[in-house]
This record gives sequence, C-alpha cells and structure tokens, in this order.
Amino acid sequence: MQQGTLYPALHRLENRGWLGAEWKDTDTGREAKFYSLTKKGRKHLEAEMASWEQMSNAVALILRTAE
Amino acid sequence: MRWLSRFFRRRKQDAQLDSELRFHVEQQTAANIAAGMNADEARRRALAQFGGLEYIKEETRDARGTRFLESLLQDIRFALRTFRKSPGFTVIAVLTLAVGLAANTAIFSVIYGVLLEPLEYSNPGQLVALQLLVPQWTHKFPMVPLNPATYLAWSRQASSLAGIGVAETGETRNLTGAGEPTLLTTDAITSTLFDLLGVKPVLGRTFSPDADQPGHNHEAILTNTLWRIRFEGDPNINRHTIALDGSPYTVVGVLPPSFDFPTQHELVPIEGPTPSADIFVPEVFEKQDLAVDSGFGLATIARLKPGVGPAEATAELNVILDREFRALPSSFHPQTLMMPLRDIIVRSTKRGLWMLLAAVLALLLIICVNLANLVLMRATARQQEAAIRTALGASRSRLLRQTLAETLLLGLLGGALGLLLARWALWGLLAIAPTSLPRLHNIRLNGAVLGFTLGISVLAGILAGLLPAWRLAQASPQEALRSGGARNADSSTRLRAREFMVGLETALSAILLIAAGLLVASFAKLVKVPAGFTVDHILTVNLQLPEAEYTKTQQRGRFWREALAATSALPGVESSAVTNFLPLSGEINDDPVDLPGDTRPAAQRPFASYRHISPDYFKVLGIPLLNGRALTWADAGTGNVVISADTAKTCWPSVNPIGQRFDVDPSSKFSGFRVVGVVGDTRSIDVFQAPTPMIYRLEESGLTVSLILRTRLPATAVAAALHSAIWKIDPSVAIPSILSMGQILSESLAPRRFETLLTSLFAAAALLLACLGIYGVVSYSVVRRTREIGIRMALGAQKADVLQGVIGQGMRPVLLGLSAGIIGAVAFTRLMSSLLFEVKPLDPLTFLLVALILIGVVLLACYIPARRATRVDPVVALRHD
Repeated sequence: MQQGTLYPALHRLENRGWLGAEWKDTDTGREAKFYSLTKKGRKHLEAEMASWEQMSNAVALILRTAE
Repeated sequence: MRWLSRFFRRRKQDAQLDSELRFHVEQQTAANIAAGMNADEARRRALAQFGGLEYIKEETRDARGTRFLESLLQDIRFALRTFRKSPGFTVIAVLTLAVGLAANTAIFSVIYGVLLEPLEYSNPGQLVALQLLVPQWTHKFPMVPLNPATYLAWSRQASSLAGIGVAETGETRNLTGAGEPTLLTTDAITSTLFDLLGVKPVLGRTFSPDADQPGHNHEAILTNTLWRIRFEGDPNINRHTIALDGSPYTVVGVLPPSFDFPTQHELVPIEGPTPSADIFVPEVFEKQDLAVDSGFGLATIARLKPGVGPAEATAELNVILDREFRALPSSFHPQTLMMPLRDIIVRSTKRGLWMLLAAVLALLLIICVNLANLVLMRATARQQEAAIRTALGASRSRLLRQTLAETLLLGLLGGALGLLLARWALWGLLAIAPTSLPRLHNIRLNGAVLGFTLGISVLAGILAGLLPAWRLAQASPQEALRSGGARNADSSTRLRAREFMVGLETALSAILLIAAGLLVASFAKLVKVPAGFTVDHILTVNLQLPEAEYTKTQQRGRFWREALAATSALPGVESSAVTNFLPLSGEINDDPVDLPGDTRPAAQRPFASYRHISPDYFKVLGIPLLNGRALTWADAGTGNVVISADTAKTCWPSVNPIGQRFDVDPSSKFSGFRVVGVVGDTRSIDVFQAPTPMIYRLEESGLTVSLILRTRLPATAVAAALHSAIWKIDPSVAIPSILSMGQILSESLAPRRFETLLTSLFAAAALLLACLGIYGVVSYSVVRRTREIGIRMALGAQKADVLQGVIGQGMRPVLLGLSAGIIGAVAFTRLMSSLLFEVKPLDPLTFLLVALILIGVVLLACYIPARRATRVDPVVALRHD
C-alpha cells in the first residue's frame, strides 16, 4: 500500500472526531502533524475490532467444518 | 457545525495539508539520500513511493465533506464570469426575466390581497355570510338577502351561532352640525356586529348592546378617514353631537385606519355597487318592518361557535326557517345558504383574477422558453468547453449543475430586478383597477408575495436551464474535440429540441391571444349594447332632502316640481327629469305583480322593478313611447302607471295592456294600479343583464332623488348654474358632484375593462416574445446551415427554393404549435364563459382571426432570416466554417 493513500483516510477520521491531531516540532526543525486516537475513536476502534474478531471466528468455523 | 467551520477555513487547511505532505515526502527523500541515491533520484523515488500527490490532495479535500458547497461557489463564480464575457446575452436574459417576474409579482399581489389572505377580523375562519335560497326564485335571484323577521328568529333561536349581525349599507345621509353640510355614506349595522368581528376602535367604544332598539338609536361610530379629514383627528370627538338627516347622533367611537367593511354589493351580490361607508349607525327595526314575507335586503354576517361545522349550523338554521315560514302558503320555503365570509366578498372577482394569473404565468413560461432556446444555442457553441471538462473528469451531474447554476443565477438576478420593477407595476395596476374591486386596500407587496417571487424566480431559472443542461451533459467528448469546435450539422435531436420549444411558445401565445380576443370581442359588444335609453349628453346628480325639514309629502313634491322647473330653464339644458333610482345603478327594487284572477302561488308570480319618475323622464332619456301615453302631473295621487314592453309581454301577453288594473286590494281603499302607457325596454339594473320588466309611477314624495339633465354642455359648465338654481329654492340641500351617464356606464364596465386590458397586454407581449424567439431560432438555424445552403445553391437551387426551404422548416413547428394551442384554447376558454358577454367561448371568428394574425406575424419573423439565406454567396458559404 502506498503511503499517500493513508492521508484521505486519516483526514476523514480526523473530521469525524475519532483522531486528534496537533502540529509539533520534529527533530529536523520542521513542523509535522501528529495523530492520536481520541476517546471516541478508541471506542469505535474497540467496536470495530470486536466485530472483526466475530467475523474472522465465523469464517474460521465455516472453513473448519468444510474440511 | 464543524463542517461549516471547515468550509470557512478551507484555504488554511489546504496550506496545512500541503505542508504535511511535503514534510513526509522530504523525510522520505532524506532517507533515500542517506541510503545512497542522488538528490533527484531520491526525490523521484520518494514521490513514487508516496503516490500521486495531487490525487491524494483531491481525495483528502473530498473527505472534508464540504465539496458540494465549494463546487456550488465555483459554479456561481464561473457563471458570473461568463456573464461578464457576454454582456448582451446577460442583459437581455435578465431584463426579459425581470419584466415577466415583475408582472407575475404584481398580479399575485392582487390575488393574495383579494382572494388568499384571510380577512382582517379575529378568527376569520369562523365567519360566514348567511342568505336565503328560495327555490322558485333562483332563476331570477340565485340568493336572497335576509329580512328582519328571519334575522330576529335566527338571532334568538340559533344555538350553533356564537353571534349574528346584519347590515344595511351604502345609504346616503346628510351630515350637519359639523361645518358644511355633506352627504355621507352610512352603514346601519346591528349594535353587536363590531364586537362579533373583533374590531377594536382606536378611540372610544363600539355600540352599546341596546343601541339598535327603537328609541335608543342615537350612537354613531366614525371611520378613521372621516375622523381625520372631517373632524381633523380631534381626540375629544367622543360625546360630540352631529346630525344625520336632521336626527341627532352622538359620536361614541372611531375605527382603526386599517378597518375595511365590505360594501352591500360584496355581501349581497345581486345588488349593485355602493361606495364604502364613512360612518356607522345602529340598524333599528320598527314594528312595520317585521313582516315574515317581505323586506328582504339585509346583509348578514354570523360567527359559528367553536367546534360547530357549517353543515350542522345550516341544518339548525333550516329547522328555524321551517318553523317561521310554516304559516305561509306552502310554496314559499326558503333554505339557508351559508358561505364563508371571504368567499362571498370576493365571489364576483375570483374567476377574472385567476384567469389573469394564468395569463401572466403563460407569459413567464414563454419567457423561460425563449431563454432556454438562447442558452441552448449558446451551449452548442460551448460544446468544446464541455467536452474538455468531461475529458478532465467532470461528471455528468457536475456539468448539469453548472449549467443550471447559470440559469438559476439569471433567474435570481431577474427576480431581484423584477421585485424593483414590481413596485411600479403594482402601482400602475392599482391605478387602472376598478374601484369596486373588493379588499382593494389589502393589496400590497408583503412576505407572501416576496416568497412567491422567489419561488417562481428559482422555477424560471431551473426551467430555462433544464433542457440545455441535459443536452450539454450528453455531449460526447471525442466528437467535439475532434471537430475542434467546428460547426457541424445539427444532430436531429438538437433540432427537435429547438422545434419543440418553438411549438410550445406558439401554442401558449395562441391560447393567450384567443383568450384576449374573446375578451375584446365581449367588451366591444358590451360597450355597444343598446341600453334602451340615451347615454350621451345626460348629466345626473343625486339630491337628498333633509328629512327633518321635509316631513310632509306635499313639501317634497313641491320641491321637486320647483327644481325641475328651475333646472329645465337653465341655459343649455334642454329638459330635466327626476327618478328615485337611476338606470345602471344596480338597484333592483322588485315586487311581484298581482294580476286580478291570477291564482298562481306568490313565488311564481311575475316580478317587476318599480321606479318613481317625473313626467319628462322618458323624453329626457329618449325612451320611446310604444302605446298609450306618458305620465303627467295630473296623474298625481292616482294609481296610473306606465309599464315597459317586457312587463306588458309578461303580464298581458294577448291583451292590450292599456286600461288594465293590477295589485287591486279590495280590503283597502286602494283600487290598484292602472296602465296608461307602454314604453320601450331599458337595461335598468346593469349592462350585463337583459332588460327587466319595469313599472313607472309618478315621483311625488321621495327624499332621495336623482336629477337628470339633458344637455350638450359638460358638467363643469352647468355646475354653478345648477347650484344656484337649487339653492335658490332651498339652500340647505347638499349637492354632490355631477356625473354624466357616460361616466356611470363606464364605471359599471370597469371590471371587465380591467381584465380585457390586462389580458390583451399579456397576449401582445406573448406574441412579441414568441416572434422574437422564433426569429432567433430561425436566424440561428440559417447560420448553422450556411454551408449546406451554399452547396445547394451551387448545385442549382434557386433563391425561391432556399426561401421556401427555410420558411418551411421554420413554420413547421409553428403550425403544429398553433394546432396544439387551438386545442388547448378549446379546453380552457370554457372556463372563461362567465366573463364573456354574448360571445361564445368557441367563437369561430375569434379563433380564425387569431390563427391568421399569428401565422402572419410569425411568417414575417421567418421571412427576414430566410431572405438573408438567399443572399448567401455559394463560394463564401463553401469556405464557411
């Protein structure tokens, strides 16, 4: 995956309030944008992870019984 | 809301995004250099690893969620730029739209103020007008006003009404005791009527509840205008005493300036127009007014109790009616007729006004079609631009949106300018509006009207842009780019689109022209209708004797004879006469004719209108004597009458009416009326109605009488002499302005004239616009086909062939449109029949004339560009692009 394709997604999540961003100085002397997870974002992440686990378990179950 | 703040901060966000991405690219570049690549290679690799920068930026910007608003702003800015580039088109488009929208706004203001806005009384939805429906009389009187007996019965017994009140409006009384004597229009109303309507006076109070009882009738309430003009807005006007016709009245209140009480004609449509009230007094019923079967002349307003529906109330009122009229012969069974108050007030104008709105909307539609054609023709020229945009990734909906944004902007600009013009348009409209238009004072540009203008501006913009936008979005990019913007032969669909518009315009113009033509024909007939009496060189003035000084009938009779003698002797006056009701005054004054031996029930007996006249009346008005003799002063005190030809035909169809008697009452001393003469029929009530049967008696004892002078002099020349002649007899008689019969006739025609004038104006504008549109389309088509025409001429086509070809192609959609328009007119003019006078809605002459005029004018519009086509030099044309 190319690095650049991340950015639209990052900005979308930022707009929804799931990611927080701030501009901080880096060691090269330039300013860069640092992203961090917000409380709302963490809740959504946990929800997404739970549903992903559920789905992968279901798929694994199907595959196992198919054998 | 975060979305909105993102929208406003987007430039800053773009800059931030730029630096964010640049940072990462530079980091990667630095890493690459550290790994051993040279600067250029490092940067190239970094960018490649990252992905397309511009594309990423676009995607990120899309994720912001403000795309729609941003692109809208872009479209608007772009549209403004194109307007600046083609100022001619913009100016024409905005101006024509503005004119159409201004006309629509003005007409809608009238419709809203008169028909749509609720009445300005409290809870107007509960207010109803009550009348009676007498089945046997509906052919003559579709609705009958109440009489005092019925009103009192309903007032005392109806439990479904929260209140009921009556009014007798439009009477004239002489005001004395406050400066010069003047005649005021007086409305006599039930004392609780103002409370029923919820009217709050600005000064003082409304009538006390028992003010309309006999003996207590001494209170008066002034209208705001009267108070300001006549009493100079005196804040201490209360308890001031004035005299009306000699009787004393105490002023108890002043009405608010916005108060508008309907006139008698608005409340009782069968009666003629009367002026609005200047002053209100209580309506008193004396014992002799209370007969059950006579005295029908009261306008009645009632308020339904909350929660009670009209059907329920009507049923109860009918029960009460049955009880009241049970004692009478069984043929007389009136029913209750209940109508919402607003409906009855505007009844006579509804049809005409809606027709005007339809006409002006049709005009706007033609303007939109013209504009659409203009935009379509421009769109063809901008095909290449659209193709490039599509190739660069513009979606179809984006192209569509952009074209629509242009026309929408034109629509809104036209609407804004139109609103400015509408103020003048409305001013002009009100100047020619008939003064009898109900709720005239309520017409203004208010919020609802502005909302309407906004709505139709947007609609006009969308309509004008719909077809061109759709066509543009369908352009195939390769074809347009390949031809490099060259003028191709028109695709057949594009041609058909233009032809459809032309056909539509023609159809609409045809319908409008036919409607206008019918109205004009009808009005012409109205103006020429033989009234049965001379209208030219007749002056009239309404005189009123002060009741307190002329208590005896002999005094009144003597005054009139002296006045007649004095006025007929004036220089320039050929003869003079008096009558109690002028012709064309709308006054009915009917009574049934009791023929001896007539055993028919009362409701089926013939009716005749009574008039009291002086002997010279027929001579002054030029009414021919057909049989017997006219009345003379010697007939005073006898029952001798003169009847009209219609009366003779109705009552004595097979017998010579001279000498016949009627209304004989053996129980009293009255030996009935005796016919001594028959005169010609006249249209005495109004011009629209056929002559009614008339019975003329001698005028001996009237207080209010109209003086008629036959003279070739204008009113201004006679006025001074008339004043001194009358005042020499009695200086206390008020003399209002002198009107000529021609003016009275003109005033009665005012509503029809208003509709006819406006519709003709719209139809003429529609024809002009349609022609301009057709001219534009044909010219454009000629230019596009220049090459083809050149080829044809080079191959041997003659000028005549080219002419025929161009005109033929131009006229084809016109003829189709004309046919469609005629079919449409056949369907719609049926709705107009109530506005037409002796003209059928399908009058073939009008249809034929309109078709000929339309074809003729459009033919000219096609001919001019066609002639230009014949001048094409084939050599030049072949080189034409």
